[in-house]
Amino acid sequence: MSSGFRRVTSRRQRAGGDVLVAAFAPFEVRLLRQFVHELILLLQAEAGAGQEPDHDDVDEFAAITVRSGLGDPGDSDPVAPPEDPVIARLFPDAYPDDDESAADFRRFTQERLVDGKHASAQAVLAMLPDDVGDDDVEIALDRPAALQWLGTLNDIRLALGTRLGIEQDDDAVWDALPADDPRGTVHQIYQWLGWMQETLVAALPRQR
Amino acid sequence: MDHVPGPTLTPERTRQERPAIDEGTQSDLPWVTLVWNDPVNLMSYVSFVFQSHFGYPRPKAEKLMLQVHQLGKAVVSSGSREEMERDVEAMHAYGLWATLQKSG
Repeated sequence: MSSGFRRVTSRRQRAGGDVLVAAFAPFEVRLLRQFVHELILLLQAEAGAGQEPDHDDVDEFAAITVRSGLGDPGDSDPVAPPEDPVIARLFPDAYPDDDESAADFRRFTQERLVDGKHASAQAVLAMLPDDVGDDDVEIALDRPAALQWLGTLNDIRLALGTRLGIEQDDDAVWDALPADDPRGTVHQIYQWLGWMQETLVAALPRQR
Repeated sequence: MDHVPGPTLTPERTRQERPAIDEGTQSDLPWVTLVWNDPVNLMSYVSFVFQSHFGYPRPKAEKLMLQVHQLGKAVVSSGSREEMERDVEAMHAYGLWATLQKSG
């Protein structure tokens, strides 16, 4: 198991600043890739046009999406409906009491927000090897990459948390789930992603 | 102040010019950006975002974060409507639940 991110000051990078480093077990790399890929598909569906994901990916990840709960298992339409609670959480109404202004805001910002989240997720995916062997994989992040990881981990957690119905201080509920409840596994992954994000925030140098 | 562009890295793109809304009647009224509590975002991350985006010193960022956590929401910035829309968009880029409204 990964012990999370830690800050490493490299002698070669005195001027460039610190690097955040974490080692991931092969199964953790596969898990991260799955969820980042799911997020990418979700964002591509939201973007409407964009790149068509290739068919192998769709088949492979449709199954994962159903397993994890990130996607909507009952919906084979790749375009997420606007009332999808995950999309509503990732792109909230800026004006809760003013539908017209909220729609205007969405029109002017949505594409940029989707593109930004998509670009970050793609950058994270590109850092995760798809041919892991038996050895741990070391990931080293400079500050811009760390910000992309932070945002992507957070977006995945927002999506999973929304699908799971996470509430404030509800750990007891999840701890009490029967061992064979599949939501328990997804909740453990959700918590693991949160812990990973926590180590990343803690390791990031504070603003000067 | 180290003003990081947020986790989404599309800062180079020029912002689309928005038509002025209610020019002359509301444009000089102060607006505020509110951040709302949610059960997913980590407290440490919310504090980090307030430091990174607004450049707030850590004590101020943590105070605002605790206000969000304990009271359900906090005013995190104020200014013109356009400025507040930029802040709300940035908060959404970070994954925080933010809205804007007229002050008062």
